[in-house]
Amino acid sequence: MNNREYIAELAQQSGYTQTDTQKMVAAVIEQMGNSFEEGNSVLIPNFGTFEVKKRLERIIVNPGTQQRMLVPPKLVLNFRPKESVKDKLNKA
Amino acid sequence: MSKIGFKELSLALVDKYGLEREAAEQFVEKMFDVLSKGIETDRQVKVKGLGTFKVVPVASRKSVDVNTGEPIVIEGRDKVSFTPDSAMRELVNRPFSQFETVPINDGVDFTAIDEHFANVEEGTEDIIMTDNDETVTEPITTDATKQDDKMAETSEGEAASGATNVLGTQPDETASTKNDENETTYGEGIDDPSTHQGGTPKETVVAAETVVSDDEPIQITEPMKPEESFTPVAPGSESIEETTPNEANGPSHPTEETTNDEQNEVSESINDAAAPTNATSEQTNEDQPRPTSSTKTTAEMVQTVSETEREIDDARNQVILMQREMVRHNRFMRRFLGISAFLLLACVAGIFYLAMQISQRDHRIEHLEAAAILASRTPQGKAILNASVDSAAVAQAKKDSLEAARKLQEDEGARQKMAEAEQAKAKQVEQEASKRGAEQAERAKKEEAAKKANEAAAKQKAQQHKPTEAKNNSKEQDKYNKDVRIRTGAYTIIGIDRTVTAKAGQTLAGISRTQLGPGMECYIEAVNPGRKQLKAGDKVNIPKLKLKKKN
Repeated sequence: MNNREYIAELAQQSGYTQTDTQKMVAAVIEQMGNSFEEGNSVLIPNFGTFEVKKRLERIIVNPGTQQRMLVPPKLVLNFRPKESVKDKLNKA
Repeated sequence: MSKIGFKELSLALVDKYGLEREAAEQFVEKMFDVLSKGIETDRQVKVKGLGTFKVVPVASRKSVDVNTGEPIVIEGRDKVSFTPDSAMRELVNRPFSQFETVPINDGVDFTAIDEHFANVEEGTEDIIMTDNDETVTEPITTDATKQDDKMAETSEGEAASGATNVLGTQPDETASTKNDENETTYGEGIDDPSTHQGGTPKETVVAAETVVSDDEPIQITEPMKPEESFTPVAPGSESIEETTPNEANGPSHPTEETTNDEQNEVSESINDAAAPTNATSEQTNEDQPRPTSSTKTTAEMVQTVSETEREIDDARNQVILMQREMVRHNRFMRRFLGISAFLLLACVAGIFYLAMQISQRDHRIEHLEAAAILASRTPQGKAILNASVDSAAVAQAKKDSLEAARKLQEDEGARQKMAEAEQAKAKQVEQEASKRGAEQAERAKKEEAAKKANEAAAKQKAQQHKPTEAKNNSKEQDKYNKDVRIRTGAYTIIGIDRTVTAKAGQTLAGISRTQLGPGMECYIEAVNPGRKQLKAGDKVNIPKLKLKKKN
C-alpha cells in the first residue's frame, strides 16, 4: 500500500476528498513532527508509540582500512507497536 | 518528555482546518485504523511525511532459557518495522544535524584514558567521575593535537580534584562541580537535556530551593530517579547516583561500560563499608551540624522537592493547556476579526456605492430638470411664439379675407351700382332713345350676352379639353413606359417630339442611332408599336425623352 492507496482508502472511509485528506494527514504528521522536536512521544491507542530516541556517538572501524570513525550522536524516531497489533500480525 | 495522544494531534486539525473537535478526533483515529489495517493486509504501508511501515518476518532461532539454562527455540514471528521518512528523520535529528561522522587520526590512542579508568578502579570515586567526564569531552572535539592538550587538562583536572580533596572539601561536591563544568563544555554545541542530569543531583542535595527556582523544563522528570535512590540508600550512594547519569554521556570509550560497572561496584563496596568519610562528607555537603539527621532531612527535602516539582509539572501542563486554549481563542479571535473587518469593508463599500448611486441619481435629476427647463423654455416658447405668430397670421388672414370680402362686397356693390347706374343710364338712354334705339340696344345686349355666353362656353370647353388632353398624355406616357427596357432605363418618354419620314433602306435602329444616339432603339420601338420593317415614306415617331432623376 503506497501513499496514494492509503490516502484513497482513508478518503473513502472518512468521507473527505482525497486532496483534503492528504492535507489533513500532512497536518497531523506535522503536528507529530512538532511534538517530536520537543522530545515528546506520540501515543496512538490500538496502534503503538512513536518516540524519539537518542543514539549515542560511537566509534566504528572500517574493516578494510582499519580507519576509525567517530559517528556523532543522533536522534532517531522509533516506533513501538502495541501488543494487540503484534498479536494480530502473528495470528494472521 | 511527555506523551501526547491523538487528541493533541486532532487539535492541529481543529486549528488548521476548523474541523469539529469530534470529527478531527475521528479522522485521526481513522488515519491510524487504516494504517494498521493496511499493515495487516498489504504488509507494507508508505505514508508521505511520516515513513514506511513494513512487516518483517523474523526467523525462528535457538536460545537458552535464562532461568533454567535449557536450550530453547524462539519461534519465528512477524515484526513491524518502521523507517521514518527522510524529511521526518531530518526534522527529528535537527538538534544534532551539525555533527558529521569524522575519521579519527592515527595518532590518537586511548591508552591514557584506559589508564585513567585503571586508576579509577583503584582510586577514589571523585577521580573516576572526573575521568569519566573528560573522556566524554575528548572524543567530541576529536582532534589529535587538541586531544593531547585535553589530556594535559585532564591531568590538571585530576590534580585539581586531588588538590580539593587534600584541602578537605567534600569530594562529591567537587566531583559534581567538575561534572557541571565538563558537561557544560560538552553540552555547549549540543543543547542536551542530559547536560542538567549531572547537575541536578548535586543541586538537589546542596540546595533544594535553588533547584526549584533554577529548574528548566527538561529537568522536571529527571530528578525522580535521584529521589528514588536517595531515600533508601546511605548518604555515600549519592556519588554513585551522580555517576550513573554521567555514564549516559560518556560511552565513547570502549572500556567505559566495564569501568563504569567496576566503578559502581567500587562505590557500592564503599557504601557497604559505610565509611566515616561519608559522614564527614555529609557534614560538609549539607553544612549541617548534626550528621545523624542529615540523611533524613535530605530525603525529606528531596521529597518536598519532588512534590513541588510535580506541582510545577502540573502547573506547566495547565499552562500548556491554557496556551492551547489561548491559541485557539486567538484563532477564533483572528477569524472573528477577519470576518468583522470584511463586513466593515463590505459595509463601507456598500455605503460608498449607495452614495455614488444617490449622487448619480441627483446628477441625473438635476440634468433632467435642467433639460426640462430648457425644453420648456425653448420648444414651448417657440410653440407659443409660433402659435402667437400663427394666430396673428390667422387674424391677419382673417382680416385680409374679411377686407377682401368687404372689398368684394363693395366691388360687387359698386358693380351693382354701376350696373344699376348703367341700367339706369340705359333706361335713361332707353327712355331718351326708346323710340330710336330700343331695338338696337336690345340687340346689342343680346349680342353682348351671346358673346359672353359664347366666351363662357368656349372657356368651359377649353377647361374641359385641357384635363382630357393631360389625361391622354399621361395615358400615352404610361403606355410608352410599360416596356421593361424603358421602365428600367435612364429616360422616360414624356411625349412625341417629332415624326421623321423614313427613306429607302433606313431601319428603326438606324433612325434611332441618328436621332437619339446609340442604344436608344427601345424608345423608338416603344413609340412606334408593332412596326418592325420600314418602307420608304413611313412615318416614324421620335419620342421626347426626359432623364429620370435620381432620388
